[in-house]
Amino acid sequence: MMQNGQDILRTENVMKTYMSGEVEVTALHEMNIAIKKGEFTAIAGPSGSGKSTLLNLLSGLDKPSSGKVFINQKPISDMSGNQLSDFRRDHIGFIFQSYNLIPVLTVKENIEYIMLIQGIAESERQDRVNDILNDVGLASMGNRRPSQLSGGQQQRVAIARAVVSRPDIILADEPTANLDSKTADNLINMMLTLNESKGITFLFSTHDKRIMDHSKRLIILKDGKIESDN
Amino acid sequence: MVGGYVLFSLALSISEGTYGTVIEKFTKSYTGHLQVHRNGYLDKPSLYKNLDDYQALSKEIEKLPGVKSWAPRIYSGALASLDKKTSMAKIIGIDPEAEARTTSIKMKLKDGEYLKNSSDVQKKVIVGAGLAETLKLKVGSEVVLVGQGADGSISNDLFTVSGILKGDVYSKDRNYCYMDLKAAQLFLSMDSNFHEIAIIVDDYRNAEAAAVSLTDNLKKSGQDNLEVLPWPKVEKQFYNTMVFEKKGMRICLIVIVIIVAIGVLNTVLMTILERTMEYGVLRALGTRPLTLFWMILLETAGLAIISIIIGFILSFILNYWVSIHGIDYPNPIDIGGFTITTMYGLIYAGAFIGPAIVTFFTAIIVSIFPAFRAMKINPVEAMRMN
Repeated sequence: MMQNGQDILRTENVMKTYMSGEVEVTALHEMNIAIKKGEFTAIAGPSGSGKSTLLNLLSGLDKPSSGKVFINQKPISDMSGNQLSDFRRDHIGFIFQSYNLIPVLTVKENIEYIMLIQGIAESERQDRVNDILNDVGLASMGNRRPSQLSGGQQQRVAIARAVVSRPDIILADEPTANLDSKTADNLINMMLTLNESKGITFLFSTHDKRIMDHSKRLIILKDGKIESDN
Repeated sequence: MVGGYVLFSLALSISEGTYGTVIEKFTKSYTGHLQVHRNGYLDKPSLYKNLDDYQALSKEIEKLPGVKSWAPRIYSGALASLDKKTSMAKIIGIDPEAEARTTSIKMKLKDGEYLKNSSDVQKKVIVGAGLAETLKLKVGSEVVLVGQGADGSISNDLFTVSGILKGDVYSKDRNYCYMDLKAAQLFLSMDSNFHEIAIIVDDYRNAEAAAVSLTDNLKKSGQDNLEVLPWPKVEKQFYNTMVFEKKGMRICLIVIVIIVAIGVLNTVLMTILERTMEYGVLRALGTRPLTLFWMILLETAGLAIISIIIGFILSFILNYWVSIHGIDYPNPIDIGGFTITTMYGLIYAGAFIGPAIVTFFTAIIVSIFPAFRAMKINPVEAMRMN
């Protein structure tokens, strides 16, 4: 178990470049970030500032052009495909802007899936699913399909899916972007509660002022560089 | 996939059903499913290569599993005359009741009435349409038959036309001249001898096995100078025509298999492409590439199995309906000299197993490439397809 105050996520001179036609574009300039356990951090910035690129690199969904990403002191940027998959499965939770639930699975099955690939026993899976559904206020909707839920409810399922595997950090990419303000407020409060009561580390990429206001740390990116970090 | 299965199953059912109908029609029309002769009679027919103990043979035939009926026959050539007209005729001596049980001769009668079994010698004949046309015979006409008796004598007698068969001058039985077995034996001085026994068993496909079985039984009973031949050997030309036609049909079936395979490919590809975002999510959540590959293959296999079950139920109902009611051809077709107006289905295991194998393996094979593609998917790009 990680101790409070220890870096749970760290980057070392992470840089990302890509080709746009024949022109090389630098999306991120040698970036150094460290996130500690239990933080509730927002990364903000205008479109094209590199928020999503950074989040993809931090989650191992993309590889940096240079530099290293460490989660729990392990360099994920050096991992092979299977190692990275296993690492994401066991250490990172995801919340996506478009919820990205599997439409053919029920709410319970969507939440359960990650524990299934973790190899957790069925009885424990069921217990954890029921607990988390209570936490996110969807206890009565476990057997519904995502299409039968509102946007806010779907995002709650996505939060439950991210939390249930007990990851070291949850990376949330614009989690409130598709929600109305009341629903967004509810979700932010829910994530704050999870952060405070269970010590879950959250790292957001966001445009949402409310998340920025509630976050305990705000990193502003501009043109692929850290403009401020408070 | 269900559609492909049903289409393929129906094609197989109709293909086998149609050939089955033709063979059944052909064999029950005259040949029978198997025939018993003196050795070598079929290759070189002779008045003297005959069978003599009908009762003993009947006892052996009766023991044959699945035997339904049998009928003795006598063959000879003769000249048939009416007034100044003369034509060649093929004399066929039959046991009217046994023949009617064994073949469809009674149903081929166009005019007049069928022969009756009698203790007396009935000097009545049923003539083919060609003979009737050539000699201008009508029911009740008296026709003179001149032939050669087994004792070397010239046999001749006057017979009354009892009936005329359907058909025309091109029909296979155009010159046939059926008469009562006893009348034929007397006319040809053959005592109680005869040339052939035609046998019908429960299914024409069992003819080969029945022939082997009867041959063994006859040998055991000391009658080893007889040959028992199934219909494909008796009617080689017809059988070869059937084989040739079936080969042609096989090309149609291959085309259907390709259509089914393309349908399955389309279904699988669409399913996988439509779900690219889902696969991206699964990869992002930590599903290993190879796990995703197997998941897609298993899912496709599951989909194929469900399709096969539904397809089996639907095609069984459809094939059953087609086997009972048939589908009329817009234009009758000719196969091996038989005109087919309606195609019937046949319910047999192959019509369901074949499509099941094709559907299942096609689904698996065509899902390998998209599954491999999904395995190599970039989760970030895939999730952008939401």
